[in-house]
Amino acid sequence: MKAYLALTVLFFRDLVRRRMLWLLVAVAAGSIAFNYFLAREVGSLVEAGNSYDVALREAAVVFHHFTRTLLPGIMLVVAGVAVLVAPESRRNGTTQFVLSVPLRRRSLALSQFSAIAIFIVLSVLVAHVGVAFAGWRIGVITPEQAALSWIGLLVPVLIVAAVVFALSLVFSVPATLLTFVGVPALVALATSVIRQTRILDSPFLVKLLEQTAFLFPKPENIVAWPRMPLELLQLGRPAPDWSLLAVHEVCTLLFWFVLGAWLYRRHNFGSRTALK
Amino acid sequence: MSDRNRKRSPLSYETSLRRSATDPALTAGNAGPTESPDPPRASERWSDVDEQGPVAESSLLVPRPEVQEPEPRIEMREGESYDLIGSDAAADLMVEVHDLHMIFARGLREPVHALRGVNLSVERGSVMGLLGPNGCGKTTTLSCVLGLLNPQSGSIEIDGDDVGDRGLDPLKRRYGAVLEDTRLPPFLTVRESLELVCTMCRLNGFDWKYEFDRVSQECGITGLFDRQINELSKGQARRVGLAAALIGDPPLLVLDEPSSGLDVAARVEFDEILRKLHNGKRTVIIASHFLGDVQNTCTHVAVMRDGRMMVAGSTETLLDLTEADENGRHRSNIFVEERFLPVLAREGIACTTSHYAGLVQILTERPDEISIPLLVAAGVVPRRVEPRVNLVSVYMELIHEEDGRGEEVE
Repeated sequence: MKAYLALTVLFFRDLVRRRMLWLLVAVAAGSIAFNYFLAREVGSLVEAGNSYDVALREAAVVFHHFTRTLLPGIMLVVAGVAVLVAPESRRNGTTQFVLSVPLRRRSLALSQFSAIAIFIVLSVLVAHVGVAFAGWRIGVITPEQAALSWIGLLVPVLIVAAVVFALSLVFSVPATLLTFVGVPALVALATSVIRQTRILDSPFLVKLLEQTAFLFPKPENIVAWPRMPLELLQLGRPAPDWSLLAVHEVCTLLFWFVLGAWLYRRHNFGSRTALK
Repeated sequence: MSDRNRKRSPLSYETSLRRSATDPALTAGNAGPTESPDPPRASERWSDVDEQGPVAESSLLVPRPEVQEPEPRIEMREGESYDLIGSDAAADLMVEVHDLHMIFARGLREPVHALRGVNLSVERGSVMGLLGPNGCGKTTTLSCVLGLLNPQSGSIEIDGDDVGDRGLDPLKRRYGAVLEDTRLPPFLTVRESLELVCTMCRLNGFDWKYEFDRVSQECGITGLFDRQINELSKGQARRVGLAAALIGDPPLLVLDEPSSGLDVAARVEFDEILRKLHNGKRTVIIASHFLGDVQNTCTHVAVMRDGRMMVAGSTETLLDLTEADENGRHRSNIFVEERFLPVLAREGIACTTSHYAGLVQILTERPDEISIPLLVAAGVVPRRVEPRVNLVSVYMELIHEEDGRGEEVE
């Protein structure tokens, strides 16, 4: 345990050295900017002669639109951060040094992920607090709902980070990003193009694309953020088809995680790729 | 092309080694000078050889006592690899590598066969120098030994335990390593780095001070504890890396090009530390390009080329054995310019191509024969005279063997 903690601190300091703190600064600045934007929006509506209630309702619409857009963005940023560390780490001198002392590879990966997780938790916390505070000021979210949805956001985010990190342990940054971002986006684009333009309008092709899309996780579909009402939690699910979606997302995430972990067991820590 | 002029293959080289190793008349230490008559003059000898051919040469020119040939200590194996020579076959081995194959993928390009059946035995308490040109497989071999790479086939044993695909971790405490790419975390101080290693070696706080004192004295880093790694010079950083590898007092130390990038003074200092570290107890494997350092530091040497182990054995044995060619003649380490070839041919002095451009190497019957007076008398001025066979000449001979060098010149 001591060794694990020492390594986590080491990799955390390594991340700090690699300017990852700027991510936190950027998120904090974004949160402040969003709060300022909403306050100015309410103020300008009131100045335009609207009642305060109308101004708050307008601001709530903006708020919900923004958070709906932000959630997939958070997932993308998390994937982007999680994918950056392992390929760099396994080639740098610090990792090579760590590998030359008594240490299991899984301990190395676990401590690297722990260091990333600390950054992700801090970043998501800053973003969540910023958004929740803005929502609370315009009256669309209560502190209890914010606290509850924080857990609902953090857990999927960490799972996504773990999955992306697991695959990035053996794949390069472009390959991993292509897997989790590029391919799903291309599949969605191709599906919509086929449906809209009727080019290659083959049911088989559309079904194939849809099934392919099922292979890739979309965790934003099951996250109720930034507002998770207590009533929905008491019902057991925040949406009618939430259970099915959740099972599907868990399966896809598990698939990629197991694939990454399995490949990592067979991975060589050389600068070149060994044939199996 | 005569037998003597044919290009020597690794097999022929190995044969000459075997002869030298087992034939007391060819081995420097067992030359038996009292039993050999005075050799005839060079002109007589080489003219006889030219007429009668290489078969008659040994019996005619250097009468050897009838001795029962002992069991050869070199065995030729498939894949042109060699066993340890000049050492006891039943020696206590710290590291044993058998038939190691490693292939690297290169996308759509042809894969690289980095290791082609490497065999290596490292005796406990020895210092093994791993030599070879860039890309010959030294680092790959060491990476396999350390478990950073999983070979496609072959076996590796450390201290008698087989290192399987995933069976390495429990063995890791048994070695310390300083790899070529290894850099201590630059944002840590020396003390923090060593504390980190102590933590990962599961040493408790009471042991830390003892370990710090021990490794700091062994590696000469006493005054560096509070300095950051990125403030250290390259030589100091290398010594700190060595100290980190010595935490826990591992019986095996693996160093991959530890002297690369160091200036001469730092290299000498580092070699001195290595010699002190050895003390006949710790086993050390060093991959290096500095042959002089290896010769001074290592008790054993292995030479690799193209993913194969060309030869391996004790340093002294290698230096003694590699003088004799397949005809029982020794490279004299006297080099003359090629323009003297007609004179040499006229005088019947045999010579061979060398790794020095424009120079040929004189061949002699005995390793201790002084040919300079003969050459001077014949009007040939030696261009280069090496004091004795050194690791550089042995290494160059091995490395250039298949390049067409080493062919006898008429």
